[in-house]
Amino acid sequence: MTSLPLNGIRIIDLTRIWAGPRATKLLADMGAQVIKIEHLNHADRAKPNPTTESSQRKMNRATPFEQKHRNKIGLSLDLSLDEGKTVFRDLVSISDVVIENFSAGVMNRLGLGHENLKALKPDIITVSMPGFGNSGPWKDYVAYGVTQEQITGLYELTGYKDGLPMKTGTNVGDPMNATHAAIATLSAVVQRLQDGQGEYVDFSQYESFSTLMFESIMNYAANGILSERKGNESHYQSPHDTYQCKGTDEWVTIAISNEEEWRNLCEVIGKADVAKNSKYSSQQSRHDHRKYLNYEISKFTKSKSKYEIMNLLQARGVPCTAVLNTQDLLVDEHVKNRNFIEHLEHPDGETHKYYFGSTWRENGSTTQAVRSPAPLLGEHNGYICAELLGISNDKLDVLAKLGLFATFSDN
Amino acid sequence: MSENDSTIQNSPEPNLLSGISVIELGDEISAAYCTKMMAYLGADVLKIERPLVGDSARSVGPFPDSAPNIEKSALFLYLNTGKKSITLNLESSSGQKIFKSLIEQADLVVENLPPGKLESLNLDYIHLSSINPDIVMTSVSDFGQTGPYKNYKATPLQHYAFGGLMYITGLPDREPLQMKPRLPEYGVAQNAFVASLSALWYRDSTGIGQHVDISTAEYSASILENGLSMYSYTGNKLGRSGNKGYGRAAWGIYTCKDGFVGVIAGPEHKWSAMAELMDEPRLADEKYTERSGRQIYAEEIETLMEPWLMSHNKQEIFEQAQKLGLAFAYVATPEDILNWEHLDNRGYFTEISHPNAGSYKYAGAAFQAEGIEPYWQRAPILGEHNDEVLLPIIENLKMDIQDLKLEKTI
Repeated sequence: MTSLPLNGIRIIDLTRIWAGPRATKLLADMGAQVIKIEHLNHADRAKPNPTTESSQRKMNRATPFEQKHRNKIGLSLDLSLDEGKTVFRDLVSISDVVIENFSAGVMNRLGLGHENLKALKPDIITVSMPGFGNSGPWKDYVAYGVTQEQITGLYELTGYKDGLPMKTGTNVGDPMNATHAAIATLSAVVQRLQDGQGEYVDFSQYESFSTLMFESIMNYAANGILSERKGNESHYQSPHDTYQCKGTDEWVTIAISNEEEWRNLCEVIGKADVAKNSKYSSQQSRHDHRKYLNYEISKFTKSKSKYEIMNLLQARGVPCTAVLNTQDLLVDEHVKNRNFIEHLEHPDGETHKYYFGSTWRENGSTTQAVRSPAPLLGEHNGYICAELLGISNDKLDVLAKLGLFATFSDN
Repeated sequence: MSENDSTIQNSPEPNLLSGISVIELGDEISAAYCTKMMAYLGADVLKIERPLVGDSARSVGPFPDSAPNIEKSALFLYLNTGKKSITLNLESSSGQKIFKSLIEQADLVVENLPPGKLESLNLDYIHLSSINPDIVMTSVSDFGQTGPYKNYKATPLQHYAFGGLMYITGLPDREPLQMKPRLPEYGVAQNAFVASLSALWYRDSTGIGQHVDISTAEYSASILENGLSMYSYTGNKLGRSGNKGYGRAAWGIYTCKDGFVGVIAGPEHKWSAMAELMDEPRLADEKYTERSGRQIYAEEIETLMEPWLMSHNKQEIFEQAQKLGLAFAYVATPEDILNWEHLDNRGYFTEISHPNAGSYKYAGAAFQAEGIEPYWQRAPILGEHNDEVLLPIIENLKMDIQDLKLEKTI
């Protein structure tokens, strides 16, 4: 593809932290021009990488910011000043989408709610994504990723058998809500092509995440059953667990779905006789005897590396993978073969950078998804104000003196 | 449960995907959730299932009274709202001929068969695009259509393991943990929607169809984007830290009077609200304000929080904290969720009845938009639309419907 599907679409991105920025990352990857608005007093770069660099470099290279802002351009703008709002309104009049994940009501208080924006650009699409939506008794409640994961019940279902609910290692709700928000935006843009109408999308992060784990709710509704935490076991497959391998903190997972896989597993671990024993001939009986069977499987797995085990078992059609960490992913043969890890130099960093590429590929394309690195704070102020908005240099000087476009170097 | 057959819940309005014809060759979640959203937005989704057994989701459950029945699986009913179902054996030559006739009229095929399966039936993208040159085909699989592991098998356990999510979940001195819901499969289905819609849009402006390849393993890995950046700067990989984020107090799960509550103190400027909430002036000590202090003095802070937490219920802790602007939560059960006034007030749930399974409360859409009319229709019975969809094709191909039924082609 020489052109990208969303070329020509301009998105004003006021989102912060993760779910919103990742949504606009997906749209930027597909060719939309995404303008990330921050300000020195309100930068979205909360956690700089822990190095001894100067504060300005640290903030520009803040690690959580990096991945989510590739392919975007950056504007530093103080929306608390009237002059800042004027620049913002001018930008709205030449844009297609405004997306934000502030608490409900913040945009209205700034005088920049959907109705205000529609007056400037009748077919503007506004995507508003607070924690619990823009209506209802909880609309003013605030939520981080961890709030969402608890209140949707994800932690209720995650944990060691007989143990407490367990936090997930990274917030899964944020990136999953991001894709739903990208879907909502894309859908509204497609709809506008047909009817010429703008759109107001009320996006509750709670509702978005909750739709992805509705089975347990339906199970309760149908049967009154509350699911128990089962660690890595399954209620209908056995063996189904995580097993220790040679080395420190090295693991594989094995999940047996049918009798053929069971026989092949036994043969690979040198226990063909166990497969012949009628005592273990059903998922239920294997589940009942899992202590012994897991002991036998672990004896085998502890003597080999996780990759050796994965390759031996997969060669016999047994679902088994190594438990990978970040470092493993970077050197994995399959990940490398599919060019999933991309590289790009950051303008303010000498370190070679890694990015995850696009999570889909068209016609076997290996075109790099990461076209440009995350913007420095206010990196594209000149382009946006002078070229897109046509603000004169004299006017820009006046506005700059008000601190409207402050960046780290002004600190 | 009522036994009435209500099909269309809301009057269908022209919606953004109306007129788009989608064929789903999906098993369980990773194709079906994508096309469920498409059906909701007005697309005409035709699900092709195996004769007699259908989609495996029909056999997975959960079932009412835990009694297996292919028309009563909650997983299937939820994932297939708004679709039509036909049965077709793609292994047979007459089944393949019928399938190719369906392809002539389709805009999009979404499939999650094992990579290579459609190629072995001469029904892969190359063959289908020779019948319908601008067709878009989206293939979802465990590891992708290419690469050394393309034929490796995976279950939900492996999706968590290979993508790196499992390694960082659980206690540092114990085995890593999966999450119970099958999130990677739902996530990859969301991605399939975005990729398919952008490919259709690209087709509309260029006339060029595409084959989109999406890997569940890569989707799962992409969730670790924060960890990847950190590793690239510092060489530190994320590990497991149990129930406390970053080893800090007041950023994790704590026991309260009637369950588990999320104490999430948030940024420095909100810390003073903690002392007010828990009626414990000692929590206002300046040394706890900074995040680093909450790590150093974690045990002290937790000792101060405990009496208040143990004397309050999860719902009241959540609501009182939120009223002070603190992003608290609690570990909700399905029972809690079904009873929240907030969700009813927003019209999140939709009651949908099915002639065999009865009436259930379903989760609504992932987002609400003023210009999109919700279009909820129950999931189809296996082969419910065989006559409507297949009879004209069978007639056109001069095949005999009785023969097709006898040889289990349909």
